[in-house]
Amino acid sequence: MPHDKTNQPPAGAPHEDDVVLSTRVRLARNLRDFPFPARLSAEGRQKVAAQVRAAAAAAEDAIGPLQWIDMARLPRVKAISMAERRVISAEFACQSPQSALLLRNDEALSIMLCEEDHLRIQALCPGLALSAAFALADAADTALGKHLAYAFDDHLGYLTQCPTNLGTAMRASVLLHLPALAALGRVARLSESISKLGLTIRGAFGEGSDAEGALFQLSNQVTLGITESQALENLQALTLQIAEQERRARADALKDPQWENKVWRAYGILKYARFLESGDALKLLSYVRMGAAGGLLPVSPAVVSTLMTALQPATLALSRAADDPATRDLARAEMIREALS
Amino acid sequence: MQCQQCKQREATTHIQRVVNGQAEEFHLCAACARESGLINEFAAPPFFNLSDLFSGFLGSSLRQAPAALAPAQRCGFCGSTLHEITQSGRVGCAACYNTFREVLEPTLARIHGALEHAGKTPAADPAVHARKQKEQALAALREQIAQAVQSEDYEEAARLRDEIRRLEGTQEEGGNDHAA
Ligand SMILES: [Zn+2]
Ligand SMILES: [Zn+2]
Repeated sequence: MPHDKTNQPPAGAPHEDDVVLSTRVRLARNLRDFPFPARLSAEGRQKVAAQVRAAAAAAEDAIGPLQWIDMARLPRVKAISMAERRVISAEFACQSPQSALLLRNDEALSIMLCEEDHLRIQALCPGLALSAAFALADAADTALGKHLAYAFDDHLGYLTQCPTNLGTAMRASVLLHLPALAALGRVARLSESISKLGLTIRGAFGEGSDAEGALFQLSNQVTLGITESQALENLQALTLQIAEQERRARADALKDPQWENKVWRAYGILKYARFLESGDALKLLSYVRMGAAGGLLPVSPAVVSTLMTALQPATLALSRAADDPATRDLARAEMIREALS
Repeated sequence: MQCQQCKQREATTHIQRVVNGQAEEFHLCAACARESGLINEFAAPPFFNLSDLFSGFLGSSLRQAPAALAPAQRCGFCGSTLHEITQSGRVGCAACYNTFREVLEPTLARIHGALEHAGKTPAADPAVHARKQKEQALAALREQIAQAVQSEDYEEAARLRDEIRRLEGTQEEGGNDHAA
């Protein structure tokens, strides 16, 4: 079924969100006058933090007020929940020594300090929004760059601690929900066209037998010798292509009574279950999301997407004051029941 | 598809890329991908272990490296040695890229397939003014080509195109879009 052009989301609503959950753009930047984080002394880290903090204050007119979060003073569960919500990386949530984070109120813009690089500027948007996310990260980078001496080489571009990020030092990624293509085993086959465009795809969650919840992350791989806009165009083109393939596969699948049964069965379990482990819940929500996007179930895909994040252990522990796994399974089932009723 | 590392779990991370005309494919389960550092997609190297591959590449360039760049030579700014960079897969500081450029470049070319930055340049850095000027010169030349073509002066257009090619290095292919 071709994507209905008349069914475009209203202004401000996320694009392509039947398949694309969110878009993230990260820019890595380092300060020329300090060793990269792995070789940086405690004193050096403090100086880097002070410089970036001052730059953010000076750039406030351009990028808006950012909250300064000292990660050492943030409870671990809050840090991990941020990682679950994709606001920071999992590495940053757990890293030692801890560092600092600059965060905009709506969490769309965040700057991790002394993660893998001195600065990791991140923009996060719902749905497919590569231009918007890049514009946000790029504007923050430009504004900060007026007050910071970045490590840059005319030939190698932005210099990064890990040589695989040299050049634009940009990683753009989209979080894709591909239940139908994954069930057909076609995600692996997509990788050929993916590599030709200098992109890569991987399961977003889980260690189990498949990508849990059929969530995949598609991102650009090549950073040197390509402009930001070329990389974004490639990613955009391939995302639209994959989304179209997924839609066709879903439409076929939902004609199959077996699939229809899986969707309704998952919906039934989630509506009435009293205990739900996070991996199970994610798998069932994947079917429900597919049924919701296909108009089969009386649920909006956005509600399901929200649940997919909200059910993660740390985020749930915070929202429902559920500290141990058993209480969480109970709280998780309750939260999902409430959302689906 | 089975994970090619542990040969037990299902592969969910699929990476394919072309390095020096050779396609390389990796199919890993989430656990092995995480183990390999692939899970941090930002550092996502197209291989199991960045430092292994980096040191492998670097090791072979080192054997042909000039004697002046012995593995014990230190970066004057951060004190890193080539040996340390090779072992960790991490470069010590911005100056390291200069100190060890000769040895690093072949490795970087193999990782990226290119050695010329094409993207954004920092606003505050005076060192990039040359590049900006070059970009402006290129834009001006392209405009001149369009004019030459319009006045059917194809000799001049060809000359300008050669000039653009010279300025750009080997980037441009075809370049007929302005003549169309
Ligand atoms: Zn494995
Ligand atoms: Zn150094």
